[in-house]
Amino acid sequence: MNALIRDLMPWISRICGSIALDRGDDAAQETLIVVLRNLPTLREPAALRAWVRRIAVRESVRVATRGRDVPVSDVSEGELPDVDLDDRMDVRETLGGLPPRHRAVLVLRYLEDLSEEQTAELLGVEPGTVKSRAHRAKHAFEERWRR
Amino acid sequence: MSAISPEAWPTATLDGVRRLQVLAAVLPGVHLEEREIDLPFERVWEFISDIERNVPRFDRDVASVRVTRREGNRLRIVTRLRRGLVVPFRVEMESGFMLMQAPARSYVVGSAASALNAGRTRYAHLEGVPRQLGRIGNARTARHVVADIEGIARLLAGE
Repeated sequence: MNALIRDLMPWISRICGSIALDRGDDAAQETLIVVLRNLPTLREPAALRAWVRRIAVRESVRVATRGRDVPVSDVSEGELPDVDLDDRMDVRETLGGLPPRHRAVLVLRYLEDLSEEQTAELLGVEPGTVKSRAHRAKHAFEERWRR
Repeated sequence: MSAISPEAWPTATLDGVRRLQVLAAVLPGVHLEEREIDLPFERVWEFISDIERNVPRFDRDVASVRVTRREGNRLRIVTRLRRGLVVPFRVEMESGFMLMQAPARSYVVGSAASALNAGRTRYAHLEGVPRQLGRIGNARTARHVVADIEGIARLLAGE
């Protein structure tokens, strides 16, 4: 069990850290508890990664939004140029300006490299919602990058 | 966006105390106790990691501990209980976290420490038979863990 924690943690840590930010440690801990408690119910070992990802995203959003309302305001869609960022603080600060559910979209689309459809299915929203949230997040990153 | 390197994304961490909290939450039959100790992390961990010398001093059931093999952070030890039983353990030890498991996971012992502000340390201690034990067994395990952690705190305060 400790070995599984060690194997999963490097991967979970980015998902939880990027969605729950300052509460990322709590989210990672909650994720591991849910994963280890429910591991016997996982019928297909090959599905482990997708299953753990789903739990990590759900727990991170839950921990990050615990006790407060999260405004979800989408913006109009359209193409924006890619933003080349490699500064960790910029990424963290920019993510901090977004609601947790939008951060979840970013993590799934750009860190986990899921498609809009896969992201929408995992989050239980329409693909159009994923598209607009990703667009808003890209816009936020671009604004910070221009400063 | 896609140009953000994976290293630039914020990360979460799970220190040894949190790792023990996870194990305590998912393993039935184990008990976890935590204390704040008014000593720096390095001092606490030096004491905890010297298992041959110190486990028999704070665990009332253990007469001796002998390290029989050491490969990196993995150890094999043999513990002799005061009532005569000899129990081998596999040990994983790293800075701030240690987990000892008897064969077939018949008993587990965990220790973890993390540094707090002002030279203080949070110490966590976990022990038990990781299966459903019932109320009496759980209460016995809890009493044992409390006695161990109080013994550790007392010995550290006296050194």
